[in-house]
Amino acid sequence: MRGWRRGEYLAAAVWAMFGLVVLVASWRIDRLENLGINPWSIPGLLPGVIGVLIFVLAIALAWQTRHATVPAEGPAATPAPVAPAGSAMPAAAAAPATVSGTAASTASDAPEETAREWLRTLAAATLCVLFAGVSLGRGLPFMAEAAAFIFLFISAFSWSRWRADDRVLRGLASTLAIAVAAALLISWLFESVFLVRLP
Amino acid sequence: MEGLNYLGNALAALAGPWQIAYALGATLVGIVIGILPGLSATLGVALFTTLTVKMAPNDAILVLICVYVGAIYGGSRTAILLNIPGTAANAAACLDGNMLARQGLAGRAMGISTTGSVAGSLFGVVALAMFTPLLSEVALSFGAFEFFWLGMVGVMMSGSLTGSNPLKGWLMGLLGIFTATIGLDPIHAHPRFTFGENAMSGGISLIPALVGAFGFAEILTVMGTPKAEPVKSHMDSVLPKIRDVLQYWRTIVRSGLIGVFVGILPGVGEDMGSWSSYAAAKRASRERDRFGKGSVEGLMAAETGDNAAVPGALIPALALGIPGSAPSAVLMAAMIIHGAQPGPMLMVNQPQYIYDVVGITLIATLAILVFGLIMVRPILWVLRVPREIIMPIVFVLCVLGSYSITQRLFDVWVMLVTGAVCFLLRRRGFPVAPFVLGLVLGDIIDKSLRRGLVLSDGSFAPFLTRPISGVLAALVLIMLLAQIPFVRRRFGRRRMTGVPA
Repeated sequence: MRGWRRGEYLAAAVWAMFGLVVLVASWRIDRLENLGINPWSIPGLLPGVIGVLIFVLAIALAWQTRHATVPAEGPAATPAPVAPAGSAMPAAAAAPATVSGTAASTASDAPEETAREWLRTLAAATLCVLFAGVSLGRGLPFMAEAAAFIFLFISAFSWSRWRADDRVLRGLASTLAIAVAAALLISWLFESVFLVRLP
Repeated sequence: MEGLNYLGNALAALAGPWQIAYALGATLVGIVIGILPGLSATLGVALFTTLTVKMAPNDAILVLICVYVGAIYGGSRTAILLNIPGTAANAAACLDGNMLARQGLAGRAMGISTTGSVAGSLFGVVALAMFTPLLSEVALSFGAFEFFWLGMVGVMMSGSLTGSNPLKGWLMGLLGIFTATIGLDPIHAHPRFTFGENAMSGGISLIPALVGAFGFAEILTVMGTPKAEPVKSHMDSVLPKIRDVLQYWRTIVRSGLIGVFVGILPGVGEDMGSWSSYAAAKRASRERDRFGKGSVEGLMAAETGDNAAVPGALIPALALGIPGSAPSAVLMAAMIIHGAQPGPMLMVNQPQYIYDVVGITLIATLAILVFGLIMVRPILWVLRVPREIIMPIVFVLCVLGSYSITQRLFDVWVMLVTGAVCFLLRRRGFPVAPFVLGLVLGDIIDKSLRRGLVLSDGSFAPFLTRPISGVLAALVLIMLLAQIPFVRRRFGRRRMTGVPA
């Protein structure tokens, strides 16, 4: 319970700081007085208003957390205010994050399960960033980079299953074939059919 | 009469062999996107927007609408078999669809889903043809003041009705509006929040941001969670039964109307169309005890509502330039890329375009009927492909999709950062749809606010005293006040009953 509240207060604090930063940054945007523009059309007007609104809503979120009952679901769920008239959406189905073809992502009870989930997420994120953010655009052929990424991704997440079934070599071989075929097909599709230049 | 002429022209243009091939192919791809875990209609439309940039404009929009309609329909397959909706719009279908599957009636559930989807979509097509010109005519009298409030209503409504906490939804909406202000200011071309970087001067592009929010974030979510197993149900006949249509015709009509209305509301989307229809059907049903336990009527209502909301969401997009849902926001961006100008002037300058969209949506509806009847079992094969294989391939498509529009690696970084931020925020219950709406509507809100204030010489009075502005401002105020506990208690808001938590 305390963990959930702490998370909500932290989120509210981050939003409040963000709102203040946006407000200050908007204030510092040039008002273009030297160009003689209408003062009501200054570039920083809307961002400044947004900064104020974000700050106010962040404070409201903190206040709401203070008076909320703890939700029954896991840490990522929030206390549900009374649904507006006409809204029949239950809290559990409201977040699109749960509609991803997997079991609900917010309902992990065991700490080990949560740690495993985060490890899997981190592994996926690392591989994706290494491919898209680091290796791309460094002069290597895109097809090779994509094939390597797909191969490493599938291998990383299938390794334990291959070892359990004692078919590591077979798994690696089939993954290599899938990776090369997918990279070839995607590259051909984008370059020849959709006429898109690859990075 | 003129409308019928335009519609006839549109249908004649769509009768070509290439157009039929595009329609069938794109709808099939859309259905597969809807079925696959981790993919959404928004992501499908966003990725295909990048792929169809070089196509003829009408062919490109044909492909995109067929992907959109197909994805919303396809998501019901996993809702029925896995108890996990393929897209958010199919969440309500889980309640009764999966229960029917567990009772050995998976095929019947699919047939009902097909019937409801086709009926809802047809409703929506008729509404699209009738109401878009009417709304466009009304919108011709809108000025800066009205468009400001319209944009704000869209963002606030999306924040109020998606997710479980409106405060979090509004914060995401404001984040989207702020993100839209990054880059050169649209009135004076002055840089805002660019930190001296040339790449930032162009702002944060919509497509890479959407691909990040709905693609990369979803991939991280999918890979981080345990895998679900499909119901191993003997597949009975998937052919829709006429008896179901005749017995529940009132439900179909009611759900179609609700779905269209909800789709028209800016920023709300197909999932609300589905839930609202489901709740209304349960309230009116004589078999309400069966809801949640395998009710044919419940499933029919949910699927009719969500598919009716698809054309419904296109109505404000075409008539006002305000999208009714996240996928329609992407569609709007694609229309602009291909030379259309969604908004009140579309009916004046390009009236044929509106009826082209009507014709395309009709073709997409017929395509989902075809695939719903003959391709159910083969399409389900994709569920056997492990997600470890699908997700990296999807990510490569996300990278290329982000890169391909302007050929900048900066857009790939936008995709990565947006995806990471949206993933983390979603874990804390902050919904993504309002962020998308804010990003799309931020430009309109920015320009309208400043133009309005210049016209009124700094006075906020016209924002409140003009008739339509006043109504929209009152709507915003009501949405705000509805979240104050004192106000809710005072007006005795009745909690929606019967929808399981």
